[in-house]
Amino acid sequence: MIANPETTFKEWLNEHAGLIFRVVRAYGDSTEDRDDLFQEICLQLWLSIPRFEGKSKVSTWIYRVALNTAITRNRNEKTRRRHSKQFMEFRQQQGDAGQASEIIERLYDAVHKLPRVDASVVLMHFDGLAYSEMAEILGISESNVGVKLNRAKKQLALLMGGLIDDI
Amino acid sequence: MTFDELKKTWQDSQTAPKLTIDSEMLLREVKGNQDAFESSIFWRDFREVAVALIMFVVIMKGAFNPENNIWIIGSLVVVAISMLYVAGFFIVDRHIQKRKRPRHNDPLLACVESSLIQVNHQIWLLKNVLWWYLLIPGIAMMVFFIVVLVDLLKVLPVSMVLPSSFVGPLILVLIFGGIYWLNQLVVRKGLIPRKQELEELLKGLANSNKII
Repeated sequence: MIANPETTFKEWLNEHAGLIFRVVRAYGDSTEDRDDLFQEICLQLWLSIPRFEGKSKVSTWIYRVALNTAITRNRNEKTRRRHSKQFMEFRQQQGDAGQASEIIERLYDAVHKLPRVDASVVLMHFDGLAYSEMAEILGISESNVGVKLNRAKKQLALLMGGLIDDI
Repeated sequence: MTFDELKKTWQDSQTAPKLTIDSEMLLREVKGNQDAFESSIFWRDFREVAVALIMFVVIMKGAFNPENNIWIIGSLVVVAISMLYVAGFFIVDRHIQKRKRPRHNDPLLACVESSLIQVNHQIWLLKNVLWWYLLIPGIAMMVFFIVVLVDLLKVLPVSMVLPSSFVGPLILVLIFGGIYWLNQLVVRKGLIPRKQELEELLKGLANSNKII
């Protein structure tokens, strides 16, 4: 049970902003849509904090809330956002210009084109999550995570047009 | 480039410290969004109950006019009670569904499944709007129109009564037909695509052994 949800929310947000950003970047269609999604994830995080039981790592738990929100959201539904405030500057994340950032941009574009569940597996894999953590987040078996990851890697290689050569 | 090299490039490029978030302002906004959402739900329910109560009082007052015969009183009482029933149905149903709402800290599979259950319930509700919403007040109002027609025929010639007697039922059919049509449109255009989307997600997660 969280004693002070407000402090916890702010701490977690500052600590795991990068994680939320990556989910938003992978699933958002446009700058406005990413801003909407970011706020929706924050809202769900805020609403879910009282249910945090400490059984899993905070990062895994936040990943779960963020991915669930991004994957299951109804894009046609009006968002709950009242104002058009931008709390996070997404372009900042693109980092320094250069080959690496170009590759990352291509990677995000490719991940965005994957089926939503496969995209989540790729994201979590790149972030170094173990199969057991991915299975816990998705609610499926570890062997199924492996199957999905292999399939997603092949699709990703195709989408990245020959950049990956060991698939 | 190998997949592992790509993974390393990705991890090296993570620039979380570059992100600046005004968490204080964001928390205020999130709480504001939550309050706005809960308040809109409250006022929606309040409006529906208030309208139903007002209609109930107005119709009941009209029903117990000393000049009315037992058939008019009966039909109007049924219409009035059906208004209360519909409002009660809305509130109880929403209360039950609120408890079944998907929780975003559940595993994705469970979250998709509960979203699908909710969408299926909404489809059921709107598809059957005739049976739980329109039918009872519709029949009662038709009985009311027929009784009024019979009463008028006692004092006025048929040629005067018949043409105007179609106006009320016609308006009723148009309104109720419009409500029915709108509900089916929402099912077709909004809920069925959403259901298919969720089923597709579920299929994407399938071929698995649940661990929850």
